Order: sequence, then structure tokens, then C-alpha cells
Amino acid sequence: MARKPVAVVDIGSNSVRLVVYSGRQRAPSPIFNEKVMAGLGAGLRGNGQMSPESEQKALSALCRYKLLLRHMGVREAKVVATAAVRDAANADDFIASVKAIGLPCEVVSAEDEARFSGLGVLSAFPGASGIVGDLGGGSLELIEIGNDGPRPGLSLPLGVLRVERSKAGEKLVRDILKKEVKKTGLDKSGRGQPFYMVGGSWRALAKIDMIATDFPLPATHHYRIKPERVAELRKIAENPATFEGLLSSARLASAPVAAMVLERVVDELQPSELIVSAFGLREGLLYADLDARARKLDPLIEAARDAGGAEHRFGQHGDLLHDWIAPLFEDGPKMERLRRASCLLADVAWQAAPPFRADRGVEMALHGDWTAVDAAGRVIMAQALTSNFGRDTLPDWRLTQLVKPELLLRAHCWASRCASASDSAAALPRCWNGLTSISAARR
Amino acid sequence: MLERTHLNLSRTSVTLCVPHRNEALAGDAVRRRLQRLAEAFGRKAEVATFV
Repeated sequence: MARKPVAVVDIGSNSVRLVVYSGRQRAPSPIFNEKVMAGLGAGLRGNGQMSPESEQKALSALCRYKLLLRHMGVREAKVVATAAVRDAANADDFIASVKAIGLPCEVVSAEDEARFSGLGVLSAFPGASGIVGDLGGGSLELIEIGNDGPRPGLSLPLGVLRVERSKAGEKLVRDILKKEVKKTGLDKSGRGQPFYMVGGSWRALAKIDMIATDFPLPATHHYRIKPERVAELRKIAENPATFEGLLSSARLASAPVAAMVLERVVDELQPSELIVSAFGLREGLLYADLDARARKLDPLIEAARDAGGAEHRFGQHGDLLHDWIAPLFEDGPKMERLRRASCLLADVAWQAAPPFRADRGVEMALHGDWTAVDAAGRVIMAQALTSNFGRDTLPDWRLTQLVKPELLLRAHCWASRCASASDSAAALPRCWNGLTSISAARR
Repeated sequence: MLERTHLNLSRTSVTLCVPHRNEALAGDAVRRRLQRLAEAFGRKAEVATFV
């Protein structure tokens, strides 16, 4: 059955964004993504109201989104407004205007905003535990996550548009964090745990770090930063002009405050590492609607099955291939799932001319829209695919610095088994039926 | 997706034509892109509607 697209319209303090996903599934794939930096939260620091200019910008964008949804045939759209609308003195008129456009806007409470952000991170990092921080224009949410899901979180008025870039602003951030974090016990539960960074301003900061350190992959999702690096990162972010043209001007403008808030958060929570999550509130809203069975699925495997399934020549190719080679390798669970994902993608390049198949496989592994895999995992998958398509080396030597050599060798070995299984299949007309029977017998 | 929306190129302008009551489709970002396109052709950018 064809999937029906679903959309989330997120009326944030910084941006108003429309994301259309291909369907309600474990690994939601964005098919359309547009934002307008309306800055609804910018006026709150002054008179507590959204400015007429920012409202007008937001409403124009929402009119366009409404039309786009109609033209795209999207029947299901969640329209949520967060801190700026929640806290503005003139919110009622704005909400009425949004509803007049024909978008059923729901103002998310601070608690729910924190919970959905936590769910979004859990959907992208299955089994994650630690603290999630979602920095928006109007607020900073802090949520503890663990096996039992997100716990009740905090919403603090520390969004990048609310905090002043000054010593007084920094003192305010420090005082509020110290008081609230201690009151809720996050200082103890967050110590030595990963801290997940959510929100465009922190993603922009990660991007700055990636450029500054010449990181070889462009995806910010799952990018790791050492806590001791944050002070240096703040110094870099103080001169955002260096990064003009590489990031949007609005994100560059908020980078110094985003870095200052991050440094203060790190000071209070003392996390083990910082991990960037591109998944947050919007993905949390979708994840909340999935049933328990769908939530348990591995998003990497599901996404690889979708991507591989769209490109391969034979039905069930990837799963069969994996079942065929699995008994030959005793990998731990982390490598096992990368092996399965690589097998699911093993036939993605058959339409390309032979000299370019390895490139296509590597590109897919390194730059695919994967969620639950870090940079090292992408490189391992890339090694498996490049070897699968007959080339031994990766295109950029810096990639090999991200992974232990023995793991790359392991991926190369998976590939040689995959290639021999595929060659057998191509040579013998009924080989896949044979593989199916053998796999079934082994199970 | 937007079958009826189209571009017209005349000697003086590049015109984005959107259906009547769909004017909001030409948001800020679209207008900026249209402006860049028109500049590339050495013409002025316009948005027009049709019924």
C-alpha cells in the first residue's frame, strides 16, 4: 500500500518551517523542507509581544505552506506553535489569523515541547540515555531520556532571541541554569552522560566546528563534540563573519549566543560528550503516533531497506544476502546492524556504469539520509559498499581516520562474501530461490 | 505539483504566473529566486496572476 505523506508545520520562535515526510514510518524521510526565518520570538525581550513585521512574515509563509500542502495532496498536517506564541502577550490574535488561513494550530505546552524533543532524539538514537537540550529562539528545553522514554523536562526562557549577548546576559543564563538544573536534579543525572544537542542554532555551531576542524563528512546529525572543545568553539563563533556564505545569516547572527548558552550548559551538566541530533520536536511528534511495534524497529535498517528496495533488481535481495553471509561472521550487535544495512544497500548501484558503481555505493553510505548511525558507521558501510563494487579504497583518506583499521577490514570481508553470493546469483538463474531455501533451512 | 504555475519570458521581464487565489505561493524565497533568474536574463522580475 502506498504511504500517505504527512506534514509538520512548526511555528517556532526563530523559524516557521514546513516539513513533509513521505509517510508515517519508523524512519521518516523528508520529501519537502522549507523554512522562513520570521523571528517571532525576537520582540519578546522588549515588550513581551511578537512584532507586527515578524507576524506578517510568519503568516505569509503559512499561507504559502497551506497552498503547498493542498497542491502536494497532503491530508494530514500537524501545526504546532512553541515558546514565542506560547509566551507572547498578543498570541490570541496571531493564533486566530493562523486558523483563518485554514491551519489548525496547536500551542504546545512547555512540558510537551520538552517531551516531544526527547522523543525525537530517542527515535533517532534508539536506546539513548542522557540529557537532551533543545535550543530554540524562545526557549531551551532540557529533558532526561532513558530506557523508559523521556522524563518530565524543563523549559527555560533561554532561547537565542531572548538572551542578550552581554556579560549581564551570560550571568542571567548561568543563574537560571544553576537554579533550575539543581532543583530538578539534572546536574546529578546529567553528569558523565551524553548531552544531545537539538535545534538549528546548535546545528549551525556544529557546522562551524566541522568546517574549522576539516571534518570529512557534511552531515551534522550524530556529530560529536568533546565538552572541553566548547570554550574554543565559542571563541570561533564570536567571529561568525569567517563563515559567511556557508551558513544562513540568521544562524550566523545567533551563533555567539548559542555558543555561550552551550558553554554554560556544559558547565552545569558536565556531560561525557555532546552529540548533535537533527531530530527533535517535529520527529518526536511523528514518533509519538507510532505503535509500539513500529517504535522498536531499527531506523537505520528500515531506511536502508527502503533505499535499497527502491534500487535493487531482485525482491528481498538485501535480506537474503545478509542471511547468506551472516553465519560466516561473529560480529557484535553494533557491527551486525551495519553489516545488515550494507547488505540491504548492496545492489543500489547496478544501474550505473561499472566504473562508477563503487562511487554510487560510497555516496549513498556516506551521504544517505540515515539517522541512527554515526560518522564511523557511515564509513564502515561505505567501505563495505566500495569493496562490494570492486574497489578497495575509500575516496578520501580522512575518512579512514574515523574508524579503526580492523573494522574497515571486517567490512571489506563482508563485501567479498556479498560479491561472491551476488555473482553466484547472477550466474545461476534460480540461485536466489536456492539461497532462500538455504536461508530458511539455516533458520 | 504546481501544473498551472508557469514562467513567461518577454523582452523586458521574466514573469512568474500563479493561479488567482494562489498568490501566496510566491513567497519571499520564491521572489528572491525569481529576481536572480530575471537578473541572469537581464530583465526585470514580475509576479502575475491568472484566472
